[in-house]
Amino acid sequence: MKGKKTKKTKKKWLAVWGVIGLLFAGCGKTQTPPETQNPGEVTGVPEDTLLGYTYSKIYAPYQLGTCDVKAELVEPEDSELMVTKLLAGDSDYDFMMLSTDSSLATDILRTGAYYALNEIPEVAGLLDRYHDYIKEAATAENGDIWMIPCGVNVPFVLYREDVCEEFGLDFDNMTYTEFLEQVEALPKNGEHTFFTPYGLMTGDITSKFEQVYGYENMSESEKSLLRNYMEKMRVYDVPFNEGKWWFLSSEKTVSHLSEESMKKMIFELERSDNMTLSISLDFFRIDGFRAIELPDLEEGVDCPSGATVYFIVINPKSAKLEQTIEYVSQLCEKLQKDTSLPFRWMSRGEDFSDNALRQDIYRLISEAEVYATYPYDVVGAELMAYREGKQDFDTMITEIQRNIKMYKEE
Amino acid sequence: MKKYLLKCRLLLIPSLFGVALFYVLPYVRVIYYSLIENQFSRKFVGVQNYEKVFQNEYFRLALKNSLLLIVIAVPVLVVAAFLLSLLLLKMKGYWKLLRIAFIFPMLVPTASVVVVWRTLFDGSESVWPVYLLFIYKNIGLLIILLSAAFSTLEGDIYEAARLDGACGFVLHRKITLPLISPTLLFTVLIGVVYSFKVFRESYLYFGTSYPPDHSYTLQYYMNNHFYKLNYQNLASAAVMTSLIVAVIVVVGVRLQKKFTV
Repeated sequence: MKGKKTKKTKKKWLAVWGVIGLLFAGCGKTQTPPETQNPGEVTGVPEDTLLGYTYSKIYAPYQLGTCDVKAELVEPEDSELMVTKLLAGDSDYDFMMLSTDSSLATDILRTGAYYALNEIPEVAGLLDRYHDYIKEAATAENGDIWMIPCGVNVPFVLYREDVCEEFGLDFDNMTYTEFLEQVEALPKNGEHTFFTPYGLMTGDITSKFEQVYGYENMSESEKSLLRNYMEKMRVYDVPFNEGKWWFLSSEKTVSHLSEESMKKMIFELERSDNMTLSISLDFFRIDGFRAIELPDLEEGVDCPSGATVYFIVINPKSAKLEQTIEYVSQLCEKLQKDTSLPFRWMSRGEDFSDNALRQDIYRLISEAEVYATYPYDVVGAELMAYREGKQDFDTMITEIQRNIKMYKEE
Repeated sequence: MKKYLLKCRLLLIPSLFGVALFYVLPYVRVIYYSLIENQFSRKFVGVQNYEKVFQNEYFRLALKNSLLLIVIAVPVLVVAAFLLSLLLLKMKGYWKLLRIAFIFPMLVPTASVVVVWRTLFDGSESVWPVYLLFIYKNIGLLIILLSAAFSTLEGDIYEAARLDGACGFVLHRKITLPLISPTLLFTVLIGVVYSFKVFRESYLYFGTSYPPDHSYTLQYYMNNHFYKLNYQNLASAAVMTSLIVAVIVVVGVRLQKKFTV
């Protein structure tokens, strides 16, 4: 009797499991479960296509997709995904496109998280085309070529020669203090425009300070210099759209400037990559525009323009490493022959004598230098807190120095 | 009996599989990372990474701050939870409702609480707001645990004690405390383990990866090394932290056994 019951129970269970099994099997056939993915994870890149990650696609050279080996550059929603993937030694992405001013770039170089490109002849050939400082930036201390430069960005003052002459403005040999004083004295009648975006103004002055002096062991005179600029920034550099310096005729936005009003523009702070993006105004088309390096911090303290290099670095753990190397070889070969403006600007021995503005920018890029920056948390956040009046100057300096010590020694 | 044991073991397999997959294997991998030069060369370097981390000034600072959090905030948390549980026990009729209220801090997102906290403390850079935030976020769970322990206490024991002349503080010291000591020790252990996880609260409150020295805990040290891609320092610090927590838990469990009536 007992045995019979057990057999019955077993049959019952078998039936239950059978039904559950059928249900599951049915589900599989009729309804495809949604694909699960990590935030920012990329799906849908074909098997034969290489996957590259970047913080911003906007600076990617268009040549990326024109090789025989296909590659797709993806901007993950969650940028921390790139750090996580690199840390974990993931093999499902093949390269990253970064810029030298990102802390991830510095960390990749420091930790050796790159595939050395010395064995690829096309890479060496491409680097020979570039300015020396770009080549240096692409070479690690141990001689490894760790990245392929694909673009460079340099800030400068873009100005109208004739209008500046009219107002007696001479950017050459001008310190930031003089620059700001002269700008403050410009007529504010709305007829002429000058453009001082918040980010560019503050960012470039403090970057320049970082480039020339650093913050670690600041002397009293350097401190007073920084205080001077920071105070001026606080007073002059007001938020977007509320700026007393914005005299943009009737159109309100720069992108709607007409050719006529562009001719009345006094100056703006610009970057070289903006000049080649399709969203930018075509300043090269109109005669009379010139470019000059940002003003010096102090008289007699000459400082080259600070360049940011955009580059490709290969994932040493890529599952498609051979394919990626092949892709990089092809890409470098193409870039060597590339005659587009961004690549000509990066190359040695180019001649732009037919266009004064292009020639100016080329000179600035040729004489620039790449310098390392600290992550935003270390310096930028403290500068911002001071600008916003959340802390005084001495506290800001103490905090920056403490952060730098911690960042370097922890 | 044998069949029963077999069934038990079979039933354990899914959970053991989960634990192995999500805890044991990653932990083994972390140990592996702590013993190699870097995740790219994978050269074995023995305990070099541990030596480097332990000699590091900031690891020591982080360790000191994490231990201070245990010494200062955890006792306050447990005592406060104990007293509030007692209070809730006396508030018959409403206590269940109030107990639910103490769960709310766990449900409210930390980011929202931090906004209130920054206003309350006027953005103070001292360590106390973070300590209080830690207590605020965790007190609900401890109250639930202690309330559950109190509810198992039988009234007869208290009645007998009262007949013998015990009352008030003596009653709790002689009866309540010994009876709930296992739960109390458990809450201490939970407090200790949670104190090692304090990061989000502090990070959001100070808004930087480089907080004032007094609030730089082990989680900051590990988080910063994560962003610097220094997985070896991160893994070594993680292993050392887990060992410290393990020692505290083992001591706690032994004490718990000793005090179990």
